[in-house]
Amino acid sequence: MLSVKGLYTEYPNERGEIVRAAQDVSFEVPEGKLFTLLGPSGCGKTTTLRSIAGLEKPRAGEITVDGRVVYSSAKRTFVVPNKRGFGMVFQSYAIWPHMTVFQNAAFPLEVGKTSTLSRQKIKDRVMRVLATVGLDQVADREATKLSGGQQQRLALARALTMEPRLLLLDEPLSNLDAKLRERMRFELKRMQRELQLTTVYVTHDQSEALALSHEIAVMNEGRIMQIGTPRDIYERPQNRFVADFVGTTNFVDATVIAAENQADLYRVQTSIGPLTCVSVEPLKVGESVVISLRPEDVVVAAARPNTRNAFEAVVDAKLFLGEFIEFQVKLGDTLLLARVHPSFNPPTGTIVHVGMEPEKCVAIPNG
Amino acid sequence: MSGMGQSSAALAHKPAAWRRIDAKWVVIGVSVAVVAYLAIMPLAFLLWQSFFTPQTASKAAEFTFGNYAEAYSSLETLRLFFNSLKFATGTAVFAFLVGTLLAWLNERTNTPFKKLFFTLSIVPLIIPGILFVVAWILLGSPKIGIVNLVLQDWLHTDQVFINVYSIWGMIWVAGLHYSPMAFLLMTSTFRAMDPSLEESAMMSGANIFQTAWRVTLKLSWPAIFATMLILFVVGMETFEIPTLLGLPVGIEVFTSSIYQAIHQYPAQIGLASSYAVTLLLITAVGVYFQSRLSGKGSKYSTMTGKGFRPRTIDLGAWRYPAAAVYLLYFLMIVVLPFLVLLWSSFQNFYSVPSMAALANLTLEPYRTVFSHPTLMPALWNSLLLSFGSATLIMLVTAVICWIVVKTKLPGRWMLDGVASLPMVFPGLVLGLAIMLFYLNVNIGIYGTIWIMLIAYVTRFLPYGLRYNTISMLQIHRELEESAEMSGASWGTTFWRVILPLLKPGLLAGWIFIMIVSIRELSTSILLYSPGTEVVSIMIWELWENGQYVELSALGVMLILALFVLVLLAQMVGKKFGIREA
Repeated sequence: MLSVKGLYTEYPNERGEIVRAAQDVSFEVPEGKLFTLLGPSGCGKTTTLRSIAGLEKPRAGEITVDGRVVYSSAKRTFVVPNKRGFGMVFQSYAIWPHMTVFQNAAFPLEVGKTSTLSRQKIKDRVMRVLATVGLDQVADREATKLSGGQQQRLALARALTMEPRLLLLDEPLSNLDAKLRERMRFELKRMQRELQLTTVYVTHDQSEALALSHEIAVMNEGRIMQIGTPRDIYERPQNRFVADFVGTTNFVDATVIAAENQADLYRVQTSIGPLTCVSVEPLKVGESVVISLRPEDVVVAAARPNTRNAFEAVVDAKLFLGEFIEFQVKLGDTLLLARVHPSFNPPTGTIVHVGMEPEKCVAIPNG
Repeated sequence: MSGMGQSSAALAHKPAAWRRIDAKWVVIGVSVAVVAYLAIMPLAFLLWQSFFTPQTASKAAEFTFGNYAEAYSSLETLRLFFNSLKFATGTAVFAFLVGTLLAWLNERTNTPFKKLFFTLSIVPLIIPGILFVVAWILLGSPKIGIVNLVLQDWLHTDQVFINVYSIWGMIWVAGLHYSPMAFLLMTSTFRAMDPSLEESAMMSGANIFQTAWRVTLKLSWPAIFATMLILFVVGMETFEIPTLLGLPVGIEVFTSSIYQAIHQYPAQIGLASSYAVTLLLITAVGVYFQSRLSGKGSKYSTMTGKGFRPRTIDLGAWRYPAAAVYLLYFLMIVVLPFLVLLWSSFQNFYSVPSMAALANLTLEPYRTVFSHPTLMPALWNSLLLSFGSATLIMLVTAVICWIVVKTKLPGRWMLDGVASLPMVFPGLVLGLAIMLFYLNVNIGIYGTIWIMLIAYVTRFLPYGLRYNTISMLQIHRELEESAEMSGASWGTTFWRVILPLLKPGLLAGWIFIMIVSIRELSTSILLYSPGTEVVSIMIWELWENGQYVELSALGVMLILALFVLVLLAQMVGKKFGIREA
């Protein structure tokens, strides 16, 4: 439905230097799906979103929505933002302080193609959308009198009243406090799934991305590092950046000894001893790789776990964090982080058994 | 036993604590007293004086409503009022339109030469009002104005194209002179606005005009009104433009009438006072509403996120006309005035540029100026006054600011108000008030340079306050508290922690006050006497004597000197990250 091909953007900063924002960014978003651009600040995700919106003019590339080209450097096409008909929610919400809640939400219907609608029709549509986001009771209130969460929902309502083909969300939850953010996550997801609205979502918050998306593109320094479903991204990171940026992980350097007779499994030598790991890409014997191992996949137990990768370790330090205990266990000279249920609570210095399933030891190319 | 120990410890501690509070209160008390004296006394005296008949040798002053009765009963005053209103409103509208157009082009479009726009902000500082007027007389006078002569020559006609000696000419010159102020105010308005407010209108399907009208403009209303009001007030206050351009053709406004009332024989002090009070009332109302509007601005602020660089509008081919507008403006406000002064400064007698006149280029005017008996004293006085007032103001306002920003002293907002009070004084009215006060309260400073120092300090007090407030707000309370916890007394804390942290602001404010003091004319004009002339007064006297070429020579040198000072100020500002207020 949305297709971005070979997008390059650059802009001069305050000092006049050219900043390269997006570099060869390409992705497809199918109809009705929520696609997330995830990455640290300055990775080019917002610039990419703004290029889709038309607020930014890319240097090269092509953007099509529903087969309609809105930007193409080859065909010299650039559709201005007010003719694209996309809904957008800004990080600052950009609620117009001189209008009421209703006027804010009705604005898109008054200025766009729909400006021929009768007052009554506009009113019906706006009130329906306001009801969806739960703001119909405060329609006549001044927009500045709204709370942060209400402003956020109003910004969303304004983007929805125009019944856009595409919804663009720029860090919509980042200005909310933690509790409210978690609640809005559910609401946003429910609304998107119900309306089946194709959505591009920009965030630097990995848990937000994992929770909301059908598909995620992890970006770094203007480039897409990996595109995949939330589970793919989390469980099968393709490179060190993705493994590190999304969630917490242990990295262990390794060298490939042999391929196991089971598909995708390899035997590797590491600083904690020989290990069986998984790799989507075929590995060669002697190749040096990095094993990424999530803390929750490191099993710590009193008895030796029943798995191929099992070792003895010493409890070096531990943190009680309520839902779980974080252990730092020492295998030889290597420290591993592990998340364990609080019921297992051996004192520091105890010798314990550590095990990890080969499926969870993900080999990624070194470098 | 332990209770005894505690109480004796407390007793032993007490004198030290008292001494500490003492120093603090003395400094605070003195600063407050100085500010209150400076800001309130002349005002009170002016009001008082406007209710008395003139004191003569034979007759003591008597209480009377006569001054007001005379001032308000005559048709003359009505005319004066309408002239002033017309002039100030015209100036405000013209300056606003020009300034806003340029600010919008600069902030929101891709007009070429945008970098040159920045120099606009320093133009009003480097070309003093009196030089700007004189330059425009040389350009736009119906008889000798170069613009007229050149156009007449080209088109073979006797038509007068521009006549600065008219109400429209006055508005033209004043509007141009104050347009950079409008430019600065509107630029900061555009910058303060969250660009996503406009972007979200675009995303909603609004075109450029719908966005500009329904969002940008509607959101800027408070700022627009505030800018118009402040321009109206400066239009009301301006002295040299209506005096040099209006008086010769009988167009009188309040400021020029006050000047005239004092300079005729016998001086009509009472009448001047009642005009001054009226003018003061008008400007005070203007400033009051302006500050109310600025305060209201915060109501219009919503949650704002990171500032993303705003998308500039692509003007396409319209870029070039836009750049032409800008260049034309630059010509009007800097190039032509400066060139005409430069030209006439190399002539024996003022003459219109021509090949013949080119042969007569001479350095004579510069020689005359340098050998002028007033030059050295005037230079010395100007330097002394600007240096002295800048130093005094920055130190006193540092204390005032500290009280206002950092303490919870009751009534501190009043202190802020009192120190800002001189802001509403038109320069001429302040000069009149101070003149009257020290004529009647004889402490031996009337006619000396001290009365001018007092006037300058009073007049520019609000500037010092503003510079210090900005930097004082940036000093975190804990920096001071940790000095206190380290055992420093209040005096030590102020001297070793607060003042050094204020240094960038102090320095920037200091240079700024230096600059405005050197250009000061409208207050000095009523206070100087032979021997206490300053440079701007010397220019004024040269004009009165018809010594245009010498005036031009002095003017050119003054502009260059101010230019250097302004550059210095901006370097300081950049180095310490201080924005021009």
